[in-house]
Parts: sequence; structure tokens; C-alpha cells
Amino acid sequence: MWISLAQAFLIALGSGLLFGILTGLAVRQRLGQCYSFSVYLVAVLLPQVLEALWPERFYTRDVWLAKETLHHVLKIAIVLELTARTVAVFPGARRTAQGALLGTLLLAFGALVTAGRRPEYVSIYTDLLPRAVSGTVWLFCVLGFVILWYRLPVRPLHKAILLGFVVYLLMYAASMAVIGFVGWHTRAAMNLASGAIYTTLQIYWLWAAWRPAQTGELEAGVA
Amino acid sequence: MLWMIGLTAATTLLVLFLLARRNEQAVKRDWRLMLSPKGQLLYRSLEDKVLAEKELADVAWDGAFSVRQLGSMDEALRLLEVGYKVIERFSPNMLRLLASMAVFSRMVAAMAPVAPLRPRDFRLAQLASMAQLNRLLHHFLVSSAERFRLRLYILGQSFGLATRALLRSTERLLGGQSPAEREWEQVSAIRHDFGTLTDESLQSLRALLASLAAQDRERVLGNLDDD
Repeated sequence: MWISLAQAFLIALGSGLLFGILTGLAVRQRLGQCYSFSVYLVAVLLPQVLEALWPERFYTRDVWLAKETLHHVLKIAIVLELTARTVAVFPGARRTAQGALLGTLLLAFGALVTAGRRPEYVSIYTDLLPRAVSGTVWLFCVLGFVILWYRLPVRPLHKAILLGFVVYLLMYAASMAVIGFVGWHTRAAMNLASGAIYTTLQIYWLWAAWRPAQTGELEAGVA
Repeated sequence: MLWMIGLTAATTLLVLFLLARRNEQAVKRDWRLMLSPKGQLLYRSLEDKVLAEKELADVAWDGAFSVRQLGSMDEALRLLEVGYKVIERFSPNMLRLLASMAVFSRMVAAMAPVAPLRPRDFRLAQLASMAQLNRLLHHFLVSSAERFRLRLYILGQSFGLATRALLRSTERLLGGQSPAEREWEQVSAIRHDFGTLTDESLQSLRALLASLAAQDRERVLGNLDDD
């Protein structure tokens, strides 16, 4: 496998942005606002650097598959952590969120189990992965609905993580579905498109990570 | 596969639309207001405001009925119109209050239990049916928060029905389109039911305030911190 010039540019840009996000979170003391998100950023950055430095060793299907699996586990961890933090002091919302997330997790698991059992790489890419991505999006949507229904206050960083993932994962699932329906030959174009969307997402997260805290708003209205 | 992508896209777009248009500062402001002593005082003062507006309509209606008995029909109709204009302003205010109570009921940790409306408290057949519907659906709902919101919904619909009935009766009386005696009886029934609806709305407000008092204030306010 080899890396095209466009891919190399996206990797370099992405790595720089990820480093910028992590630095922003550290400088603004936001690394602890969502631990799993910080771990996720490192888990995305590290393989990118390794792929760019030693493509013949790390730019492989097996590494890609392992990386995707880890990223999905971390995305689910992010949803669970965001939910736990958001509903922590709201017992009513907590009960609903627990039930809804459990139900959605079971539904997502069911969708994965009913996927085709062909072990080929193409099948994993076009059938299994879109289901996993859709399941993750549903979990984020459940959290979004709980926030909206109970009018829960959300930290700006948490909202940025939630909105960012929902948009990106939807596009990602759609790009994989296109490959599945139109044909394997569209893979390079779809990869490039989802890479560009991910770069946009990283710019948004970079802004959210470096955004100054608006402490002046906190005291307003509190008697 | 296609259904999964479709379902995902539909739910995602809905969440995105709703979350993006949500004003975070307004949400935080609501929470602060709801949990602050100032906010509690504000909601308690609403009760006085509502009662004052109802009193105003009662004064106009009392005058209309008294003047009518004395035989001054023109003056009675004028006062009836004044009463309707007060209700015309009062009803939307009550609907707004009920709507904001429904929103706040989702925000409280646990809602105080409320009883359903009683059909026998209403004189208008339509409102008695609404109360009957409330009684019926009340038993199908599990949580006290859902029952509370159902009560608010029924109250809101009933305010709408009563206002429309009052408009029709007032117009008929002013236009002399139907037997006056029957219409005056109808106005009297509507007036009674407005009183019941207002009392029941205030009872809901008291239940909400009691629920707010049980909220873990310090922890929630601490959670509103930006960073």
C-alpha cells in the first residue's frame, strides 16, 4: 500500500490539528472534561504519525482494522462518559438516559450480529463498519435527545464533541454505504471526502479546545 | 443496510437541527432562575398576577350581570365586552405559563404527584369531557411528571375551548343573534369554568414549586459552570 500526495497532505494537516487540539485542551485545562476524548485524540494521532513515518509497516489493512476497532470502542466510551457527566446531577434524566442508551446499545449490537458473515475485507468495510458507525451515531443521538428533552445544561466542549461526531459519523457511514452500493472503485474518492470532512471537524474541535471560558456569564442571574 | 443509513440520517439531522438552534445561555439562565431564591419569588408572584387578572374579569362580569338585572342591557353588553377583552389578554398569558411549566417539569428531579381534573367541577360540556379524558389518560401514565404534563396539556386545551366559547357567546349577545337568556347562562357557565381552570393551573404551579424546592440546588448550579 502507498500513500497518495493528497492523503499525505491530509495526514500532515490532521496530525497538526490533533496536536493543536490536545495542546488547547491542556492549556485551557480541559483535558479532564472528557478523559475518553483526550485518549481518543491520542489514539487517532499516534497511528497517523506512524503511518506517515513508516507507511510500509503501518499503512496496512490489519493496522487499519485494529485502529478502527479501537476508535469505535473509544467513541462509545466518549458517549458513555459524556452522558454520565451530563446527567450526573439530574436523577430524572439519568434514569431515562440509562434505559435509552442500554436499549440503543442492544439495537446496535443486534445490527452488528445480523451483518453478513463473510470474512473478506470488502465485506467488513461495506457491511460491518457502516453498522458499527450507525450504532455509534444512534448513541450520540440518544444523548442529544436526552439533553434536549430535559433542557440539560451542556459544557461547550461537550456540545462540540457531540455535534462534531454526529456530523462526521453520518458522513462516514454514508461514504461507506456509497462504496458498498456503487462499487469498490469509489473507495479512494470516498476516503478523500471523509478525510476532508474529518479535517473540517478537527478545525471545529480546535476552536472549541482553545475557546476562552466565558466566566462572566456564570454569575448572571444567580441570587 | 439502506434502512440503517436512512434511519441514522433522519435522527442525526433532527438532533443536529434541534441542538444547533438551542440557545445554551438561555438554558443556563432558566436553570439559574429556576433554582435561585429570586426565581422562586418570581414564580410565587405569578400567582398574585394571575389572581389579579381573574379578579379584573370578575369585576367586569359582576357588573354586567348586575346591570342586566337592573334592565340596562346596553351597559351590560358593554361590560360583557370589557370582560371578554380581559380574558382575551388573560388566556394567552395562561397558555404561556402552562407551556413554561411543562418545560420546567422536565427539568425537576422528581415531580410532586397531582390529581387529575374532575368533570363535576366544570359546567361546559366540552370542558367536562376534557376533564373526563384527563381522568382516563391519567391512569395510563406511569410517572408523576407525565401525569403533570398531561394535566397542563388538558388545562391549555380547555383554556382555548373556553375562550372560543366566550367569544361566540359575546358575539351572539352583541349581535342579538340568539335568545339572550340562554347566552347569558352560557357566559355564566364559562365564567365559572374559567375560575376552575385558573384555580387548577395555580394548583399545578404550586406542585411545580414544591418539586423545585426538592432539587439538589448546589450541585446543579455547580454544573452550570462553563469550565
